[in-house]
Order: sequence, then C-alpha cells, then structure tokens
Amino acid sequence: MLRRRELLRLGLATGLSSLGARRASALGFVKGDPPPSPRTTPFVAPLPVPPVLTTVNPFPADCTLPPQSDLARLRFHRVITEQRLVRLHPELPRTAIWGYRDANTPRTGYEVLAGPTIVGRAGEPLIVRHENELPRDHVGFGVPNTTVHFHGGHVPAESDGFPEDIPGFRAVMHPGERFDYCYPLLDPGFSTGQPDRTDRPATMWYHDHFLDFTGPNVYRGLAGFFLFFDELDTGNERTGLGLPSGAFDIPLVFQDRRLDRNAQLVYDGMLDHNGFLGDKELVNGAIQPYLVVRRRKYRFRMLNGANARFYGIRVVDRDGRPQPFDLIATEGGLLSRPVRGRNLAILTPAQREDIVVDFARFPAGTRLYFENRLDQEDGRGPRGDFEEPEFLDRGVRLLELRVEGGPVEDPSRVPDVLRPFQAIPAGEVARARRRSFEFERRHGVWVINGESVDLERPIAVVPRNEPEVWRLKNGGGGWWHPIHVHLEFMHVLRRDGRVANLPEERDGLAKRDVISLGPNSEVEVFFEFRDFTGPYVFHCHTLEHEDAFMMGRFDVV
Amino acid sequence: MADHGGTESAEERGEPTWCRTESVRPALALLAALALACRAPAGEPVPREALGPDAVSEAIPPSSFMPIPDVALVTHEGRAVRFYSDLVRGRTVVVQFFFTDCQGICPVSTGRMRELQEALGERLGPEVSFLSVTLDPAHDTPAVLAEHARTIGARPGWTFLTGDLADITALRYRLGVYDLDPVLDADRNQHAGVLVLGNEPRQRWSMKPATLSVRPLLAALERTLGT
Repeated sequence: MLRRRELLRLGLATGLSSLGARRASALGFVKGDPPPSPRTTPFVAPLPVPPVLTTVNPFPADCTLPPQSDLARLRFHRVITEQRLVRLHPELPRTAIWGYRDANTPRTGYEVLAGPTIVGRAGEPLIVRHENELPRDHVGFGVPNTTVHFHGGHVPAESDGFPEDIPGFRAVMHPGERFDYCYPLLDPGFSTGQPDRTDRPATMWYHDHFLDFTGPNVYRGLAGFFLFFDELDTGNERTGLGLPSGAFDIPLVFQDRRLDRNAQLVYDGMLDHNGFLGDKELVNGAIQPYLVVRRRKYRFRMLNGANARFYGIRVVDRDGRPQPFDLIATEGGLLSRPVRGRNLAILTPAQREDIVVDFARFPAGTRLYFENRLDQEDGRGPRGDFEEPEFLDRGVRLLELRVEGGPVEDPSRVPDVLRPFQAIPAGEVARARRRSFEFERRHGVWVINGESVDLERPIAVVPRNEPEVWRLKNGGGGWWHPIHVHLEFMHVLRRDGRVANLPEERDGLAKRDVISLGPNSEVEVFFEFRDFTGPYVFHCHTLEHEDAFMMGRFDVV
Repeated sequence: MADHGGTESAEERGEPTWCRTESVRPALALLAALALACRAPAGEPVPREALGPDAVSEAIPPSSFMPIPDVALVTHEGRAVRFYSDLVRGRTVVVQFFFTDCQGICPVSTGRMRELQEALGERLGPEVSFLSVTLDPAHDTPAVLAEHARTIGARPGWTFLTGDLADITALRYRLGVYDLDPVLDADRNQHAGVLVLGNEPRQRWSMKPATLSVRPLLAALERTLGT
C-alpha cells in the first residue's frame, strides 16, 4: 500500500519538478512528511487533571426537562467556549487552543486544554448553559460555530448537540450566542415506568459536533469529561462498591497533535481528510506528562479523544513488560463484574475503558508507563484487523507513573460484582426490528448503504421503546470505522457471525456506545431507543470521516 | 513517529525544513530566501507571551503546512492562469476533478455543479468560483473544454482548466483528492466524486461527496463561506 508520505513525495516532487530537486528539497517537499513538531523532553511536567465544573445561581433556561425530573435537586452550570493560550509542555511557548472554561473561573485563570469535568449523579438533573465566545473573524482551520454533544448521555434531542440547524430545530451557536442544554440524568426507560438502573453510564465526555468541521474543532480542544455517580459508584471509597475514588480516580484523555515551530497547532482540512495523525502524544492536554502515585489502587478512566488515532494501551515497566490491571467499565458503564488480569486495552476513537491498577506491589522508586502499542500509519486505522491487530514491540510512551512513598492504607476495593445486567433474551432479539447499515468508500467519498446521506432527512425512523437489531458492516477497502450511535448504549450480539465473545463487548458483561468495525467486520447490536423523540445521529467517530458525511440521521418517533 | 522519550534519529534532530507562513508559496523568486529563512534552529520559539487573549486571534499564523501549488494552467477560454494566485487567492471556490470523456461518476458531479450553479444564481462569480480541472489533459484541450462548457450550460464564474498532467496530479494530491490505495488512485473515475470546498481568505477547506443532493451541498457551501 502506498503511504501518505510517498504520495506526497510523488505528487509534490512532480509538481515542483520545474523548480529543481535541490530547491524542492530545501522546502522539504521531497521528504514529503509535514515538518516534525518541536522536540520536547518527556515526563518533565505533572499530569494536569481538569477541575470539576462548579455551579451557578439558577437562571431561566431555554430547554425543557422531562416532568419526571426532580427539580429540587436541579443544578445549574455555565461554560464559556473560548480561544485561550495553554502550555502543552514546559519547553514550548504557549499554544492557542479552543476550549471550554467554567464561567466561575476568571478569563485568564484557566490554562488547561481539556474543559472542566462535569460531574453528574443519578436522578439529579443539570442545566448547562454554553456561551460561544470564539473569535468571529477566525482565520485557519476550525469554524467558530459550535454545538455540544453529550457523548454517552441519555438526553432529549434538543440537548444532544445535533450537528446543524434543521427546519424547526435549532442546534448551532454562532459566536456571541448561547445554548442551554438540559440533562435529566434519569434512568433509561423512566418515561414508561420501567427505569433501568443497570443501564447507567460511568465515564462520558462532551465535545463539539458542528457539521463538516467537528474534526478541526475538537482538535483545537473542544472536549471535556462528564463523569457519572450513583449509590453503587459513589465517588467515595467507604460507600457503595468502594472503588478507588477522589484523588485516586483519575480521568485520562489520550490525544495526538502536531505543532509548528511556534508550538501552534497544525491541521490541514484537505490533506487530513483520511484521518488526522499527530506526532505529539498528549494526556489531559499535556505532552507526555508524569503522575506521582502512592502504593495503593487507582482507577484510571481512559478516553480516546483523538480524531483518528487508535490506542492499544498497556501499562508497562521500564523494560516494557506489561503489568496486569482490572477492567471495570466501558462506555456503557460498569461491567457486570470486573475482568481481572488484563494487560491490554484497545481504544478506538471515542471509546472509554476504566481500569484499576494496584501499585501496592511496586516498591517506591518504580517507574511505570502507559504505552500505546498499536502501529498506525494513516487514517485507515492500525495495522492488522480487529481479530489480530499488529502490535509494536516497544510502544510510544504516553504517561510516566512514579511510585512513591511507603505502604499506605487503601480502603478501596474492586468487588467481584459491579453492576450486573442480563444479556438480551433470545425472544427480544427475535422480535426486534432489523436494520442494516454498510459503511463504505466509493469514488473517494463515504457512503452508507451505497448512498451519500445528509441530515435533512432521516435514513431510519425508529419507534420509541421497541427492540431494534442493527447490523453494522464495514464495506472494506482496509479502513477501520468506529461507529457511534447517539442516545442509547449497544448490546453487542454477534461479531462476524459468531456470538461476540471479547469480555469488553460480551452481552451480559459490557455495553458500548462506540463499536469498532475492523477492515472486514460485521457486528450486530441490540438497542431500545427509549424516552425521547426527535432527530439523532450515528456516525463514524474517526472525525474526518464523519466530517465527510459518514453520518446518518435517525428519528425516534 | 511520536517521541518515545529517549531516542531520536539524526534526521529528526535536523532543522525544520521549511517555514510555516502564509507567504510560503512556490513562487520561484521566494524559494531561495525561504530555504535560508527556514534554517532557524529547531524549536526556537517566536515569543508570544505578551499577547493577551484578545490578541490571540490575530496572533495565530494561518497554518497550512504546504502551499497550494501555483501551477500554470490554461482555461477553456484559452487564458493562461496560475491556479493559486489567479483563481484561488482571496476567493471561495468549489473544485472538481473530472474529464469530458468520463461515463462514470463525472456526469453526476457535473450535474450537481449545474444544480449548484442554478441555486447560487448571481452569486456564482462574485462570491463563489467553480473550478473544474481535467484529469485527461491529453484529450481535454481548451477547445474541448469550451465545447463541454457550452454543452452543460456553464456560466461565467465556472472555469474549466487543463495543463500538464504532472502539475494537475500535484494539485490533485495537494487538495486531498487522492486514494491511499494505489490501484484506486490510478483510476481517474475515483476522483470525480469529490467536491473540494475552500474559503481561501479564512483558510477553511472541506471535502464533500458530489453525490449529496444539492440542498445539503449548498448548506455546506454556506458553512464554508460564512460565520
């Protein structure tokens, strides 16, 4: 297969042939790759952890919560979307990014790439007012119009962050405008009197979803965490399940970027349409940071927040030897039970996995690393396929863990039962309405079921509260497509004709909201779209594929 | 490769091989000067610490890591033009790659551009330019393109272009109209299904399927044009 740098070499070398090879070489065209980012020393700055979004006084809001909402527990927040300068690494000048800021934080007081972390609790509704203060006259990649998708949320269509305005349905904030989002945080099924307490999320996120330009806008920084707690997953080690909590519950968003020599972000709206890959690895907005850990258990909530990079995460020692951890959650919330002794987490764009690592067995002074072992050259995805991805012997180190201090008391635990739920019974599957969506490339563009689709009309009209089985098929060509469906979590029934058996997607054990379609994958998933009606979308979460219309609208009626 | 935290090749230790400024265009006169200017030490920052948040918007250099090739082309009216400086700079454009003999996807994308022409009305020309670049310059001479333009009813503001195949190929790659699969990339029919929408003053570019219907295509053009 021809790689991008070879194409560029071919194309640009021929294009500039009249200029002479030496001059072309002086400009770097013959080399073909974009210039490398400035060099930085790894593991010299501490891992930033975004602060929790604080509350504001109630205000009259332009969105509606369902009548079942407990308004006595309603909280209000205000978030500013802005351009600001942040330091991605101590050796670099500051980088202009687009980001979310808590309105209670002063304008110049927030030098973090990731937005503030929204913390929600079951049954406690939130209203979040977003105010768009992006520069109206912006020049460069990205568009200062925005809509905010609550990724993983079970929310009304009006508050889901639809990608564009459609007749009778406003979604987009232009500079100077605001938008109120209503997040009921009620259990799916609440409207039918059968709320499903087992269908609760754990680690979610919010990010821009503006049509055509989600890739560059999210790349500029429009993303933040949304964490969910309840009486089991309490946020307190001495109550509920007793999972590692507080300072020992750490969200990690993995993202790649490319910087010019002034440390400004580089992105090309034409060349990067296959899927952007950068040469700098960021965790929580810092290039290769470190984290000091005590000798006890930690929960890490891992999010792949990259546009197109896939991560195969291992926790390794200095010599690259993988260390075991417990997998406790995916996008669809806590697993029925932990999967112990794992040493690999594959995260396609937008996927999340929560793991617990116990550092008690490591002596002080130990250095460990989060490492990405997948080998990826371009936006098609990593080498290999879903069944057999190809791994690097030595990965790219993303984050250093420094074990320090003596033995400490650790009241946290990972119990043998987390949030058990039943696999979908065969009878439900049998009576489900079946739909099929094939994601494919034709004539250089993305199509679903052979057609270019747009958001003006739905390609599926889905009755509310009824079982559905969707067959998601990759049309081939060597591309991976991480498929995200809004509103509900997916139970994975079958993969490539067989019962899906990987622990992280086995029904009855895990649920997902992003399905990894490898180059030849075909996956059957089960849903019930409950409670809310209106337009939603499903799409490839390789953001450049999404921006080139690998996205369909479905209406719940 | 991303930084691994220790090793670095000699090549990676080298200096940046070009500068990222808007003025980097492959104009011959500039080349030697740029080659020298780019020899600043790697990572030497331009200080921007003094900038307040309000100044940021102007402070970001529009970043496109490679210029659009300013290749010499000829229009269907026989006019010699430079692609970037005469047709793209300062403008919003819809770019199509096609060839007149094409029986596959080209009629679809050309049909869509005709619908877009109708929808735009008087705005075609003053606000938006259509640029249709042939992938078959050996056959598609200016005269053939002029006949094609007449046949499909192209109005002023819609320019058909031919030139040297190597230049056209370079342009096609730079605008992103290529396939990573070399077999597909060698098939001209694969490249006519895409429309490149670009707003050069704002450095805003995106690609859309020509097979979209005209309303969403027009909406995408409005998003490219406006705030």
